[in-house]
Amino acid sequence: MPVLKKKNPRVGRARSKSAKAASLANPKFRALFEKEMRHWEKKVRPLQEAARSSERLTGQDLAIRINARG
Amino acid sequence: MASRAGTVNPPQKVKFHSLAGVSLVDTLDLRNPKFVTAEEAHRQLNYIDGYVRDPALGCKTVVVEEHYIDRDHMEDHSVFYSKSLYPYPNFCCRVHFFSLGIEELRKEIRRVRSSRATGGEETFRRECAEFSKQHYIGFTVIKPLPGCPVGRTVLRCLPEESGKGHIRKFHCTFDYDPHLLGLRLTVKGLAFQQQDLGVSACATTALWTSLQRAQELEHNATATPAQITIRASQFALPFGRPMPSEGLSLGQMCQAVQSLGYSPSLQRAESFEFTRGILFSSISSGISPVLILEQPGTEISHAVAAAGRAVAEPAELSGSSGIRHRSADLTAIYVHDDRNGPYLKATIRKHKEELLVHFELPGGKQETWTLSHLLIPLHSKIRLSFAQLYTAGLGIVSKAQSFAMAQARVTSPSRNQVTTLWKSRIFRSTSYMESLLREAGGAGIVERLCTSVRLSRYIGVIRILAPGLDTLDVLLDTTSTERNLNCLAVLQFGNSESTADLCRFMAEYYGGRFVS
Repeated sequence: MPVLKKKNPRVGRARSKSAKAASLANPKFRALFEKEMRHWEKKVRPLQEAARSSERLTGQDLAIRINARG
Repeated sequence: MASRAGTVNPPQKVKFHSLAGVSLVDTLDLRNPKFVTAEEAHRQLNYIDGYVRDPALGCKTVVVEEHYIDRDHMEDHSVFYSKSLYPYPNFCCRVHFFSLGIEELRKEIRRVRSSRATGGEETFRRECAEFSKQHYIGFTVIKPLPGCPVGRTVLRCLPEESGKGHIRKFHCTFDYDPHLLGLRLTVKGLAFQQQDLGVSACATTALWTSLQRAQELEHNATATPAQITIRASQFALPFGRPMPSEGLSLGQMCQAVQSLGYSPSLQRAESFEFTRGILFSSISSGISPVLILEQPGTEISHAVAAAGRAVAEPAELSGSSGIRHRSADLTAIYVHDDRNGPYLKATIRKHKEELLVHFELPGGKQETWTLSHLLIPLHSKIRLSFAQLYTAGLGIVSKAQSFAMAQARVTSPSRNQVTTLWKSRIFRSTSYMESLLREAGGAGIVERLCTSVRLSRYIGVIRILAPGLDTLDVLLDTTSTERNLNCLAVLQFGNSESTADLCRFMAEYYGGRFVS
């Protein structure tokens, strides 16, 4: 018969404390989240700009002739 | 042929041929064209011949209907070929491909046909569907034009499992239902045809393929090549006469799409990562994009329509934290290239910020093209382009990544890598809900979504998979625009409290409803 491991009450308490900590109602967690948000929003900005720029078309784009034969 | 009673209909002939040891060109006894080489004229047909014989499809028999009225050819004939001195017929022949030997095939067709009398209509439909699934590979229409015989062709796609480390998905395909010998057959594919350089060149043909899918989504009649070329050259003729076709400009292609009732969403392929993302999103949404390709160092541009994609099998993520669009695993796309054939594999390559597509053609020939633009025909109610959806998605996913990072720092400080995966797609809201029903707990979410959120006909879906969080979808109203983007809902698939916390934050921030 397998021997059941005894639960460590301190580990359980520590985990539930951490889980509570990862809540936006917790001001410390919220501050950390907002700091991360500033970082990641800055990080995605070049890609967002590339996406916007790809839609700024000119007459040159529309004049391309598509004529491959085969 | 005339008689006293009037005209006499010539008999219809349906012939069975074995493909063993004989080429399709010989089986069909096609005439060689006079002024182009047979290799040039039959390149697409030879490609189809090779494709249907692939071991995964295993074609053994072809059935030829000698007289077949094809709407596309009839219209091409009406506007162009009927005015030639040579009396081109207005009818074609149609070739069906099967994976059974001749005798077995005859027996099976008789068995399925007789099931109508013995088992009723439902049994007959089911038998037809099962027979098609097991043995039917598709069809090709052979036009009476010796220099370009391949007309509307719909073939089954290769299986999802490639056995080569990638998974194929053909999202831009749908069911076609040809009838043969009293049976209603079904094949899931996307229509292909060869350019004829009379009514259509590559630009018209690529649009014709792409619009097949767009029109199926809304159950509209499909546009013929002649209609597309005529609409494209309605207001501008930058390269002279529209027919014989000398190709179209990108502006003319947009004009054709617009006049057929769709919105031409056009993007320049500037950044590799972004372009790959748009390509992936469009194909995954089942909206076939037209790829405008340039041959480096020449003046030649080409257009092909995408039918599917190949994605690398998921691997363990390593390295630093980040935001990863699912398109990062895109290895190839499958395109209908009217110069070669259907479902041609185009491998994605990167050169600086350019996205290159590399074709390995039959006979060992290789071609590499640079993607210059993407033209995506959208339903006119979809105002949010794929580029705008991608831009909005980046903003949304950056919040999920921030939350996952903050959570990881608090709960497991030793963890140093947090990578959030995401996808951006556009679906008919009804199709999206049907897809949710396939997921665990989807039925409850669909019920809550339907009873609490007003959905637009097409919705933008940002799916987020972040470590330590449940999967979540953010739904955007595609009838809104980038500046006044309307968030419809934030959906949580699971019951983790921290994900609910993030979803509530997002719902409040973007103004949508939280559904879990």
